[in-house]
Amino acid sequence: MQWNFKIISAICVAFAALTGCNDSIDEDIAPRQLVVEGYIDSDGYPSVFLTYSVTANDYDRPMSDNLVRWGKVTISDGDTSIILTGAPNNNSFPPYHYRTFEMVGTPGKHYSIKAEFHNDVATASAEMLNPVAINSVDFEPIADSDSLCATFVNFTAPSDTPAYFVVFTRSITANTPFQPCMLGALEITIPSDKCRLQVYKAKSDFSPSDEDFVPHFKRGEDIQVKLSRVTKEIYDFWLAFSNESTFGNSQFINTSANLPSNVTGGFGIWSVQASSSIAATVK
Amino acid sequence: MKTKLLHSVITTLRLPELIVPAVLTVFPVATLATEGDTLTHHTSLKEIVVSGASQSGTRIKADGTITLNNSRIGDMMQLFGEADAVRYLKMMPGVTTSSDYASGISIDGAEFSHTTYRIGDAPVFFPYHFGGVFSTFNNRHFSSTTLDRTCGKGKGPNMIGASIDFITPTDTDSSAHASLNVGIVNSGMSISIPVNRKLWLSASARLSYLNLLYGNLLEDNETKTRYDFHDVNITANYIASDADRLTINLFRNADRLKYTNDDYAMTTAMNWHNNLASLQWLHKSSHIEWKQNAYVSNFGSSLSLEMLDFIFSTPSIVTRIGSSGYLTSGNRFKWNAGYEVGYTHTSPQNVDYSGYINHSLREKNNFNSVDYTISAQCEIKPTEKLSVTPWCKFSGITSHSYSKVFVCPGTSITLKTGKNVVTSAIYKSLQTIHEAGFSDIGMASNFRITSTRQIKPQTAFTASIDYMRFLSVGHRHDFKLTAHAYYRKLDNAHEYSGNLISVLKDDYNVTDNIISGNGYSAGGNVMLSKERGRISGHISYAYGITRLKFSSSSQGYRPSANDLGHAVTAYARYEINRRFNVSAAWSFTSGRRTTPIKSIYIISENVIMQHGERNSARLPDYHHLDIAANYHFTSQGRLKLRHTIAVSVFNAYGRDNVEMQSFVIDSDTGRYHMKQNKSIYKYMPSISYAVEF
Repeated sequence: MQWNFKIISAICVAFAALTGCNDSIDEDIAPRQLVVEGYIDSDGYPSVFLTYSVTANDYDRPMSDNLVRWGKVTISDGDTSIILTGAPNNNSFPPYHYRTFEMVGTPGKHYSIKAEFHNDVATASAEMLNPVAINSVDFEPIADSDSLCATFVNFTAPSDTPAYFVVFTRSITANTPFQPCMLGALEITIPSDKCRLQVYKAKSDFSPSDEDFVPHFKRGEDIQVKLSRVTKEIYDFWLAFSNESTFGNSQFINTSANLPSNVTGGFGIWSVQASSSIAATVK
Repeated sequence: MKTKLLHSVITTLRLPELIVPAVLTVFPVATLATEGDTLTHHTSLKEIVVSGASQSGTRIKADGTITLNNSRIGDMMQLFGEADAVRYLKMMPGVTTSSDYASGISIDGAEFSHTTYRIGDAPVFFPYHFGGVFSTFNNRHFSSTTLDRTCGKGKGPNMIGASIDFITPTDTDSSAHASLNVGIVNSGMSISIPVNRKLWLSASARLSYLNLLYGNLLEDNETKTRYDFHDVNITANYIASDADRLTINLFRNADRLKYTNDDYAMTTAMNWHNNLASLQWLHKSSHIEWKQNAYVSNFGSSLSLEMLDFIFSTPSIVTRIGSSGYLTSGNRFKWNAGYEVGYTHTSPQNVDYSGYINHSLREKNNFNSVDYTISAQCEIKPTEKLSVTPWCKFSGITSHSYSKVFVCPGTSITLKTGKNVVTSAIYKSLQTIHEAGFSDIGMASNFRITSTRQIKPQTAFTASIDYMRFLSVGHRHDFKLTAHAYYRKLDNAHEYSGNLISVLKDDYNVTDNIISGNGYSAGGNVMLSKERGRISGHISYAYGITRLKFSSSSQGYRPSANDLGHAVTAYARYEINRRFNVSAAWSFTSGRRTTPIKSIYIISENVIMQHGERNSARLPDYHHLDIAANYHFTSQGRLKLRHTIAVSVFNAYGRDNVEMQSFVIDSDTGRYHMKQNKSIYKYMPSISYAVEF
């Protein structure tokens, strides 16, 4: 009887010890890194968001801690270098960006960026290709919905394929900035192909928590669609971004690959893009 | 005196209890025949084979082979009103999943796809209903289930890991019987009837209505899950002659799952089915046993995503038509020879979508192969205590422009000394059908693909040793101690590296997204069990590591998704009286391997996670306690009916087992927030009623 009691006690202690073994994920400490989210469009001005990444085991801190307000961002087109000026940005997150009106994107040029803060330096460079014009935008009603419409953009593929595109949309009515739309990265392999792409709204993790994501625009809304031709490296980033933002929280699909980046010394993207855009009213 | 001696030998060897009275009955008759002076004709019996069902629920042989008596499993543990052999096998040492949602079991750290499940020697490619809570194998339809870690040695199919065989009853002498089971998740019935003296038919079916009663538990503010399934088994046994028996097995299951997430306006649908038909002929005479088998087995699945008018689906199919035959003969020198030939058609990820860019219809990805195996095996017993079983398989595969022949030899040695039995095995094995896909936990959406020049057959070299000892308490050998250690070196391990968006590309090629590498696994386990008596059960501990290295990665050897770590299982059953029994099962495993999130950042108002090295971390430990009680009673009428009421609670202490971990932004506070997707299987009660005659 005493023997049984000892055995049972030992088993209970062993179980209790195992149960308390490991109740949290292993987390290596990763150093904070600069995150560059920079855009320059053909015939457009550069705009750069500069933030810091957050170490996963130190995530519970205000987002304002991750903003870089006093960084130095330099852009060069090979001939000229411009230091961008920091300014508040009330239209999207992060609420602060670096910009200049002294440099305009020109197809055929290489653009490089250098972002500095304290001892951290992130650099990137990319070529601006020739833009492809949008032929038209059209809409189709969504079944079972009186107010939503599907949006389609039509364009002709260039003769030099493969060509890589990222589609951005913005709501003029809501005064939102251009953001890469869901499933908006595409590769065209057939030269001069007549392409018709359905475009969706961009998905934002900053939407109010009680607001469900609706990927379609509302009837009567003024929108702008931008078709940006990019290099393969930039396309690979936006394709992976699209996968992560669309399916990243699905339990059915494993998404643990890191986003590729053209930024050295940090995360993010220097998106040099040859763009054409079109405005329309959803109907 | 002789009777006593034989009794002690049989008890020592732990033969099933039913054999003992049978042999004890035969032995005095034989003794009389040799000693009686009125008998003039002497008959020498070289071998007497007496078979019977073990009263024990689980039997572990010296070589680690586990046999479950399915009729006893229902009495041991039921969950959601269903007794499930695969679920019960998860309580065996070294057999784990580490997840409530995982569809598959890892045996000795092997990949889920390295284990084959068979009915009538025909493979069932995906034997799970959703979430791995129970398998597609209706427990009432099968008499026993065996798990063989060596995959049948020289007689088994070409698989790297273990084989799990579901055996249909062959006893056609008993009378008709039937059972009806009514549960709150599903109901099922099983019937077994003699058509005439030679033909016996058995049929079983189950139908779920999970949505009706558990519907509210399967939804929250953001998500809604809907799920239903059915499965059907039909078996026909025909006795052609005293020595010949034909068996036909038919099996089908179909599952439909729909998961809606309002946050993303996305609906994920997953449908899958298995269809199987097999025909077996068994010729058994005093000198030889010849088993001939032909089958066709098909598995189809489809993962669909719907986001309003964006609809994406990726159906996959695998169909195998095969035949095998084995001839066994000999007494002291037992040998067998056999063959297997099969044609496999795989059609992975045939993507179709709408609501994206206009695209031309792609040609279907079809990968077909023919494989063949010739095998020979013998069992030599130089002494009573020692047996040696060498075998060799010659296998070949032809697939499109790829063709290769493999030689897979092996040897097993068993040594018995008193109460100790030691078995060691060393062998090479081969696998030509591979599994890959979007899910790390073996969901039905994963596809099968046959070997090609680019995706070469997997081969493994395995060395294992098993030890078994009967432990005496007083004069009874009530306890059994088993231990198992293994090492396996794996070549041409495959893993999927694609993502869902890349599948939409026009030039997507599935084989370009499968990476190959090498690996190894090593580990061991120990189990103390008590199989008989009012209190029965077992306690086990296992530890194992599995490492893989892929040529396309600079990471070197890294843990596999099925890297075991520590695992403990404890199971106890107490038979209060003949009518009432209670049981409890506790299982613990180190958390499932996962790729850790090291950093978080924002791009275009989306939270992006930067991951560390693949599978370099673990989710929180996985454990749960399941409790069950069964009450039996009988009623007399025109038929004597046996009734069972089964009550159970899955995860009785409400452990929040984490299935996935990620980070989101709390848009109200502007802070990151760790989001843990936890298993819905928590305090899951169930009650079922079964009646049988």
